[in-house]
Amino acid sequence: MNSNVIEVCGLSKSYGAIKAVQNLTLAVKKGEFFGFLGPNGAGKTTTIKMLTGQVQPDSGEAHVLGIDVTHHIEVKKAVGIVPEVVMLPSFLTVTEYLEFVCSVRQVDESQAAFWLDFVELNESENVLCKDLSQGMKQKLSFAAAFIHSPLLAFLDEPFADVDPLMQKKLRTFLNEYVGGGGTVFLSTHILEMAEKLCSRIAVLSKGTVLTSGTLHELLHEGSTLEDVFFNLVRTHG
Amino acid sequence: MVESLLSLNLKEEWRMLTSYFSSRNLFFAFPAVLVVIGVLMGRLLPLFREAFEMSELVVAFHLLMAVYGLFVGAFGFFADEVANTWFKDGHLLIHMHTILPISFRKLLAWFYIKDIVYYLFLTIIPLFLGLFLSFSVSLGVFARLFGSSLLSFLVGVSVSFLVSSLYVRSRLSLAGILVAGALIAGTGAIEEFPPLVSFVSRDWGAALLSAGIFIVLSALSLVITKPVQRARRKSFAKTDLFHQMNPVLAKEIIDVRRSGTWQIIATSYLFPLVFMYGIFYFSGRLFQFHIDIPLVFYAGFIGYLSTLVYSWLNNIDPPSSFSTFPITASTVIKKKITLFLLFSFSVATVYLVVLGYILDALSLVPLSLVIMSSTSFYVAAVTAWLCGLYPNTRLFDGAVLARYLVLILPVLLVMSILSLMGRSLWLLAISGVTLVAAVLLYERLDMKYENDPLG
Repeated sequence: MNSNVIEVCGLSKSYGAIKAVQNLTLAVKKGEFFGFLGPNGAGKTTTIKMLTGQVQPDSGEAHVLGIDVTHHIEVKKAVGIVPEVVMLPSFLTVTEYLEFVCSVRQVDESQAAFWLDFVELNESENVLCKDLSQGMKQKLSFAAAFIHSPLLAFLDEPFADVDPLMQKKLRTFLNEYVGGGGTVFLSTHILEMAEKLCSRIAVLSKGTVLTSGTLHELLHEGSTLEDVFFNLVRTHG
Repeated sequence: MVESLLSLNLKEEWRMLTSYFSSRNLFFAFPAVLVVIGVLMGRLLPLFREAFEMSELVVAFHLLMAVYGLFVGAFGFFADEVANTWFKDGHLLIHMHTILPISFRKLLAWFYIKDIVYYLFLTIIPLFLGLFLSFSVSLGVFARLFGSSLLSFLVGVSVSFLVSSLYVRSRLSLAGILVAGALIAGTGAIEEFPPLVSFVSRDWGAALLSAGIFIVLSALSLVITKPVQRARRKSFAKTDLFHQMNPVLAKEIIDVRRSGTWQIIATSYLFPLVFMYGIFYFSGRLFQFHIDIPLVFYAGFIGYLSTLVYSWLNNIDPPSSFSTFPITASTVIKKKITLFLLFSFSVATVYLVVLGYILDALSLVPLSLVIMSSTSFYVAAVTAWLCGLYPNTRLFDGAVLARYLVLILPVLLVMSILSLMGRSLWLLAISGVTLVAAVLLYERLDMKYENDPLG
């Protein structure tokens, strides 16, 4: 039985003359903590947007949880997404936003209360989303991504604005989530974080995968993920 | 530094303005239209002179220029967070004082100069070019008119700058200024308005005084101005709307309420109606062409404001907040139309009943409501069909605009003619046709926008 929750074959996307992603092929297994690394402009966010139905690919095929990514509503129903640029409805309060998400995803509203507490936004529950700090917005976005207990979560720089205490809490949650059978597709610039969390990693540059493998396969004796990343990007970038 | 700040501000404004148009060439359509308006104003001058004394027209023109300045001169608000709201958290040079060692005052001064340059070249000069092409007056008189009009505009701008700066710093001092202004206006001193005097009396002293007023008020405004950071974390009681209706519709209703857009939409109806009433009033005085405008005419006209109202509904919050959820663009568009119908019908019904009372035509209210409802729905459906969630930008596309005009104008013309002729049955029939067309377009929104990106 095929245990891949993400299967990508020859996926490409261009914005005018800029080839954001070129002929991308990869697979992610169920229960993996998959790290997707690359320098700025490598095509990480475009790939995530294509895999989550936010952007239509120009060519190639991709299936997420067995769903063709061109069926964008079905994909969005199934997965959880923390976008790189957090986009929250400006005029809803924190609680109302979580209730909105519960309503859209047809989830019991008790989940809203749980996640409000989990991301420690209780004191800001009646504050409009537009008035939240960046870190608060990111925590709220994280809660919204997991409120329906998805089998697969796409996280695009989810820790960038979150304080260290909350980062640790979220890391612990993600490890438990993966331990419980969930799959994480994580895009991050924080190599240390990727090294701590990810079981398998792909490095992307100029829209193509430079290398992929388990941490054990990628790291040579004495080297760190940072060394591997720098060498790859310098050589091919 | 000085040269660089001015040129950077000019470039920023140019790039921002041209980004609203699908082609840079289209951008120049705006001043070109003003040239045409200038020509028309010049050509219509003999007609105006039959109804008004030349001196009255000169006063009115200078006052209009001053009012124009008042409208565009509220630069003091840039010191408030209001400006940040307009520009989505501030991505302009004027906001750079927050992270760079440069004073807000200096940035605002160059922003102010830059805006005046743009207003001059994009609006005032094109208008006067049109007037010049159609006027048969000496170059000297024309130059004096241009100079005094420009001074009227600048005085208006600087007054507005001062008032807005005071408003941001202290509501109380603003009240004082407004009372003083009202007292001056009450004495009838408007005929002593320095730019006007400079033109009428060929008085260089008055021209210098006007320039002095502009410089002093502008400088004073810059001295007064100071960035204000208001408490942002306003709390709201939890709403129950998500339990009562579709979550997207509930979100849209909350947006309209909390953003204050409902006030803008309500006044969106009021101003055009007053403007139209004014046009009929003046056409009666100018052309001795008296006509009783029936209530049903206003009903059709209200329907044509739908594009404006639908656009406002799309200005509140970007649809990107829906992009990670299983929601289609067509669902969001349909909920916006539902909200539009709920909101505009209630506001427009109030207007029509009040107008019916004023025009002593309450018996025509039911027919007017039918006409208003069908045209409103039709125009909103056409706008949504052609522009989706981006009416403000997509309508600038020449091809979209052409299709919009083809779908809207004939219906508007037929409705207007039939309402002026009092053909109630025909009006009902046309309303029925537009209603069917609106429903068809509404139903096909899913097909057209299901896969439209929300980000």
